[in-house]
Amino acid sequence: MKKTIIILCFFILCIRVPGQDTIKKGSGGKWQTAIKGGIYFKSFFGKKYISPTPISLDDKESEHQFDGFTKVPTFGSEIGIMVSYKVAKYWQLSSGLLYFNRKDIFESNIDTVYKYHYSGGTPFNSIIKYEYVMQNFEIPIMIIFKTSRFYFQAGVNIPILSFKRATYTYMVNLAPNYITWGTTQKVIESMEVQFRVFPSLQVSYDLKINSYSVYPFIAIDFGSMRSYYLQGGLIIPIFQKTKK
Amino acid sequence: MYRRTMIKSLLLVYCLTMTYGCKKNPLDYRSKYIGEYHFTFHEIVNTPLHYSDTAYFIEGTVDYGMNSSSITISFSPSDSLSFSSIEATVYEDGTLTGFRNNHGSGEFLASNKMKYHLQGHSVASSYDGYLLGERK
Repeated sequence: MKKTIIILCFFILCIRVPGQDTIKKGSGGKWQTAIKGGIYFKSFFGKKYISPTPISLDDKESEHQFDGFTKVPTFGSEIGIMVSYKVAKYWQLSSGLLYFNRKDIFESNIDTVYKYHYSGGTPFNSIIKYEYVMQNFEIPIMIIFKTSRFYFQAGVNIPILSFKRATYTYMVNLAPNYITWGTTQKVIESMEVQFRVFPSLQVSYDLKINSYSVYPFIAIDFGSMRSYYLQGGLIIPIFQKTKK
Repeated sequence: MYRRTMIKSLLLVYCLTMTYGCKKNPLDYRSKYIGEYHFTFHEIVNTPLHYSDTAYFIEGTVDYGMNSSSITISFSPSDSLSFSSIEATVYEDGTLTGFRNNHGSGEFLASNKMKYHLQGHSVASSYDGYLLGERK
């Protein structure tokens, strides 16, 4: 997986220079291809602690899985290829393929889990930390409003394939006679398709450096459990085609 | 026009593949454990009149179970065993517990490795079955 990403990055860097030449020759193109890369900080609206709710027999495990846990802010990265099409003077449509490294971490502490475990409040196997790393391949679908130098985008990112690595940290009694709590971990990897959509807003700026176009951007994606991904990075056009 | 048709076709193929292309449902957390396995089953039966300690090497499958959180472990051929399948509840982290009245516990150590302990005890006798499975 890492090798594939490194090869992809290398490929992108190789085609960037001739691509920029194409842009200098043409102007006002209908189609534009660009490389997008950046980092994100994931945090949450409201409080990070997930308050336990009453459990009934009909409830599914997943409905209470993270009760009593705290959502943990994370960092990650994204890289991909974007293609945009100019549909009107100020409007463009954009799509592409993004590799997005998204993380979800929920953690508790031994005392909390011990309390819920032994009060019969949790059937969740004494887990004190869930850590999910999703290597997602996502298709963004965006509408762009363009002013003279600024690009305002709104749309969604749709994951189509996800390589998921789940790390579960368990509370275990290391010395049963003395009740000494410690931890152990288990990792389960799988390939999944997520039924998720991340609404997204983005602003980018056309920054000319020695006649080359570079677009710094900031963006925000909205995820589940009141999470948001605050992103920053660069969009580098590599190819532009004018309509004949 | 040609390009638009091609994009539509690709999207249609992708949707059909994900929906019908394979038995596994990629949206179900149990899908990562489903498949054909090599099993080693170590059975210890201890009664006042009988004691046996036997190991079996058998083929089998792990499949979706009777409800949305259970799996069925089936053995083939199952002639040598006193049962042909085990039903167990599986949690997202791979922990296994006995389904309904079954007394069992275990876990998936990874998405392709599992262990399960079946047990039954009474005043004078006991039954222990240790199942180890590895996906082919």
